[in-house]
Amino acid sequence: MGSRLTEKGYVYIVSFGALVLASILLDRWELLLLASVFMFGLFAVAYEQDEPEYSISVNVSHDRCFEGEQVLLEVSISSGSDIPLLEAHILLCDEENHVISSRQLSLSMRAGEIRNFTFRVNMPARGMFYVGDTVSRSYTRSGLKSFGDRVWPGEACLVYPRPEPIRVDWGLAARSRQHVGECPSRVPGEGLEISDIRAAMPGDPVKRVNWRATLRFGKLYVNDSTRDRNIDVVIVVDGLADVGTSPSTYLDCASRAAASIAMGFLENRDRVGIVRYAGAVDWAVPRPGRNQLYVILDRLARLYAVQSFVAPNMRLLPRSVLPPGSLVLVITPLLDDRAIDMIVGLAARGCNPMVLYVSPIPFIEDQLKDSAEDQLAKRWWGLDHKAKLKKLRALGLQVAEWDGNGSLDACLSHYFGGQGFRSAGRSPWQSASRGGWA
Amino acid sequence: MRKIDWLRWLPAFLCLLVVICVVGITPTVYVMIPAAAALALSLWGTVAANFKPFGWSSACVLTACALSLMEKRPVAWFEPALMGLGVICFLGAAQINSVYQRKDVSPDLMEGFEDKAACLEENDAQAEQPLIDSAPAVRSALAIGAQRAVAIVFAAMAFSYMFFALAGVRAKQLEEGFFMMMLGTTVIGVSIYWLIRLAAPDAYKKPHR
Repeated sequence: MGSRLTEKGYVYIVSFGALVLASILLDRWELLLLASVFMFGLFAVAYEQDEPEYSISVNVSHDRCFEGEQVLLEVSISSGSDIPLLEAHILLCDEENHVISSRQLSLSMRAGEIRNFTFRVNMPARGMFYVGDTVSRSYTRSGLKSFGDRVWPGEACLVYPRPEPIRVDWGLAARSRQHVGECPSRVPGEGLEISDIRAAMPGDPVKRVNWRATLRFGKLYVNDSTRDRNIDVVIVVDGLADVGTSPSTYLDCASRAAASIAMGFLENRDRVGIVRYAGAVDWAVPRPGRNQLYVILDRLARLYAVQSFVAPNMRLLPRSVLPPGSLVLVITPLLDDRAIDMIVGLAARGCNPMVLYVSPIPFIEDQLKDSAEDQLAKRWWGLDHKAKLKKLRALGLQVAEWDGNGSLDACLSHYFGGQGFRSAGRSPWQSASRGGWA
Repeated sequence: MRKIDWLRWLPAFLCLLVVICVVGITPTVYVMIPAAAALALSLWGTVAANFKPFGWSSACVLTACALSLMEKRPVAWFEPALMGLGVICFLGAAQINSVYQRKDVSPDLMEGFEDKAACLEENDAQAEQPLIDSAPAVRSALAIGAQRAVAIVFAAMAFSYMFFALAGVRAKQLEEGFFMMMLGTTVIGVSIYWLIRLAAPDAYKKPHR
């Protein structure tokens, strides 16, 4: 790594030159004597030592975590020779190498000395982060020359969106599948959901006897039940546009919502898949199990808005990605008209999508001024989105409105929940989903 | 380890010392104006933790020193060298200060500890003050500044003394002047060579050269 003069070195040169010039022009030798101090200082540069030998190693405790969690970063600096002054910047960078956070270390080390530092890094948002990238610069003893900048790579850490547990009794319109799950099907069989009471037949197990009815009518009666089966759920996340500032952008909130919904269904042993509708369509085929949760979280962690003029074609999706009769949930801010075309296309395909509309207005609320123009633009924007929602509802689609901050559980229960959860008017649940109970 | 707050005011303090000396010797308006400007710039540099105001401040201090030396007064032979020493000490402290005071970006996202046990222990006293790596400032300031400053000022003083000695001889004949010039050049050259070797002991740490 090459050496270069520091700002102090340039000050020495300019001071020396100016004083010598002044002494010649003014014919005052006192100024030359004053300049001699800087001259001797500059002579020392030629005899400075080479770049000091040192190495920096970085160790990160986890290579993946959930947003808001902390990882431990251990930085070890070992010197092979005396280092008068070492300046090191420990960086936390995002996927595009923007510096999110940096801490500076300024050290003076002797030969053979090892210094260890530990940092507790708060992972602010979902995404891929590079933790512990270090840029170092060493100075010579005079401080007139520096060596650098050397870059020591850190380690990558993938931060998943944090799912919230949701307990929604979905009024499901999906077709049940063959595998055992938590959703009652329309076919009678073994299950927890009681569908009917009938007279006992030979071969009925004793555990199914309804003793209350039997005692009342004097004949054996048994309970009938419906089979518990699983369903296919496909979550489509619209990533055509993004608004807001991290970690509270639309895509951050949409990722958390998608992760929560996926976790809720996967806990019920359903099969869940995901489609990223951003630029090019990308997907994960519906599968059950814990591994599938991490597959979905992985894709959501890497979800970014892709600016493209090409409308991604949902018709190219394989049948296995969007199984017929599956429950399709589209999360969208309706910022791009291509999203509406996509929803209509899904409906035409027979998927009967449910739409979770995440309003983009709250994400830029703090950037809006109180001026009449801004308020007018906000009002116009709100009316435009209302018209879009009305258009979707006119097509017979179920649309839920969520502001990204309130309770997702309450919002989904209100709009998509079973009979016991719904309400016609503006309920406290809905108020909660808009950010508060009041 | 805690950050030493007074260390950041050290360059301004050194600047103040030089300015007081210069203004005390020659209390004229032409000296006081650049001296005041130098002090203001050094304070600005301290607050902003930036080396550039210190650079301009050193220019103002040197201007004040130069104007003081050009006043019609008897100048001691060691005076220019001591003035220069004050300025290079001021610049050295300012450089270290500007390196140490570099701003962190969102430091709340990365809390640093030199002791791993303190990092893992939430209620540890160090966890409340998770600042690191500032105590070596004094050590590095001494390591960087002291040896060089002493060597440089000795060289400058020798040079000044030689000049004043030559002026004291008042050699009027050409031959004497030429002889004194040759003698002075030889002495100065040898002095510079040995003083620089003394000032740069790292040069001896190259066994293959």
